[in-house]
Amino acid sequence: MKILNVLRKFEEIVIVGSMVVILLLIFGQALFRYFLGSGLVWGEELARYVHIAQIWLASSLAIKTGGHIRVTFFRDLFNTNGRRIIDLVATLSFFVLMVFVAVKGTEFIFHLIETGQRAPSMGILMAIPYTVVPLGAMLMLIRLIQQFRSVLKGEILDEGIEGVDK
Amino acid sequence: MTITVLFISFFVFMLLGVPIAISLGLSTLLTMVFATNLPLGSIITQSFTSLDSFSLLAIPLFILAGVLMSQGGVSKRLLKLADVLVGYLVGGLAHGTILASMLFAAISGSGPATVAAIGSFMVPSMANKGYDKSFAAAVTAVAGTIGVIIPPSIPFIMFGIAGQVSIGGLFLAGIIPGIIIGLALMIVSYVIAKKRNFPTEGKFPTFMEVVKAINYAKWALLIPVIILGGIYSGLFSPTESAAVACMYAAFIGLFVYRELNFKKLYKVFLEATLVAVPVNIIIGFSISFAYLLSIERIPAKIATFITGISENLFITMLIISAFLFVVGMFIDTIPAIVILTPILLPVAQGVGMDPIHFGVIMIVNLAIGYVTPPLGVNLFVASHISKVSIERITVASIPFIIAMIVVVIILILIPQLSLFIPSVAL
Repeated sequence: MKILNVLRKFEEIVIVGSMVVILLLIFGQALFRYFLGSGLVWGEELARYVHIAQIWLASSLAIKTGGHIRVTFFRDLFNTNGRRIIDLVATLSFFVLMVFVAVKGTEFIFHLIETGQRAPSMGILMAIPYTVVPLGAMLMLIRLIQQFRSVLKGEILDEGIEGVDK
Repeated sequence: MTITVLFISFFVFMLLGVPIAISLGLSTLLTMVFATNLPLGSIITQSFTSLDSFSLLAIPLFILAGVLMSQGGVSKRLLKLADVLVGYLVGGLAHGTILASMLFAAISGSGPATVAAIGSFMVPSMANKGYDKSFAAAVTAVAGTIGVIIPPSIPFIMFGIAGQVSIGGLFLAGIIPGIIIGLALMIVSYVIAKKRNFPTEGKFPTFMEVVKAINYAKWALLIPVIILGGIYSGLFSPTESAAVACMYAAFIGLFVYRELNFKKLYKVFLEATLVAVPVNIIIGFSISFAYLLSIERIPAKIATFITGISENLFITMLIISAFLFVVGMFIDTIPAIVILTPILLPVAQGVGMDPIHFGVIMIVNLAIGYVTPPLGVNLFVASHISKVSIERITVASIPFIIAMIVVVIILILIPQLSLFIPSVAL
């Protein structure tokens, strides 16, 4: 699947890149405050927006790695077939919310462009940072279709465990 | 009506294994569509504005700092130090595990990460020395809970954001309770080791041995000094101290311990973000959910209900603690904090409790949830490392869990244990 490879590369670059940017901005902020007495206002705002982008755009890869926090004890009471049905329903429910966010979010971006609202200190159009919300939802839709297919094929959804390599 | 739809749909989605963040969003959406005529667009705006917070940035940064440390060779140096300090006691390896977890907790803000970092060394070495393997796994799992009580702590940051309480204050408040829990777990280990005749080796350390071990671990030990010293003195905000800790950890790992390289850094950044993102996305959908709760006056109704039973602070807190204990069995710490803080904090304040004190009680209670089945993340990690079944680890954990419950009661009764350090500093 070529498109999935491209998606994976994109997700990884966003994740690592955003983390580096956040780290440098906040560290810089701390240095500025220590040596000059005050931080850069736009630096803090940029770090916050990059963080929001990170959350929305990396959530799709977290679907793939099983990182999303969920409750599985009820599902685990069932046999393999029961689990598979529950997993399919869960994936579908997730899909529905993301369709809503993708559609409503895109509408909202156009609304923001119309009103011309701008970020308080950087002065960029608010539509720009907000774009990550519908965009992230669309990436999640791709991952959810992939997940739906693999459950159909008989794979059981596994949970990632923090701090433990699979 | 609104609330019935909201709660029932939330529980159904959650039980089906829909991620908690998504369950919150879906139940909010359903309720808005069928039971209210609020504008749906607010879910979108809230999913952005609720994440637009400087404090929230501390979460990925502290997770990153923790991963940098554990990959960068810090854990084994802390273990060495812990072993020299307490290894000669009866059940020495268990004490070493607990003390090392406390030291690691002062670097990492996560419970499961502490279990993984310490357990992967200590469970095998305890098993080699003839300790019962399920006991070894249980000690590691329970000691990992200290990871979220001794600062830094991701749950404290979450509580601070959800309840608008000073995160720096919460961090400082966690120090003494974390140490007390460590001591309580050591007492239990001592009694069990004595009764079951676990081997004791090592001798009382000489002064020079202690100095050598401290010297060996010195760069690692500086991290808590930087984080807490920075916050205590007001030099850094918690978010900034997290960034400073990351830079320091990366520097030590790359140039002093030389256990990191740039290729490994890429993996560390990837892993840390993939742990942080699922935590933060919950916030994105929780605010709309909490908003529906508040327009239906649910927090006020629950407050009236609980204070109707008793207006006594101690009894109210016991009821809340029992409730949190049960919640902790089924729901992960972070979603529990995000959903329950806006409901329970006003109740606690209504009976005259300090919000920082309440935060400590709430987090300790939920931390016990890390080691109670069916959903106990520390149990999963410990079981994964030790290859002992969750059932057997759970049984071996019972004495430790009882000790933690006793500590909760002591912490409720003596507020100064939580409030002394913040009152001096802030």
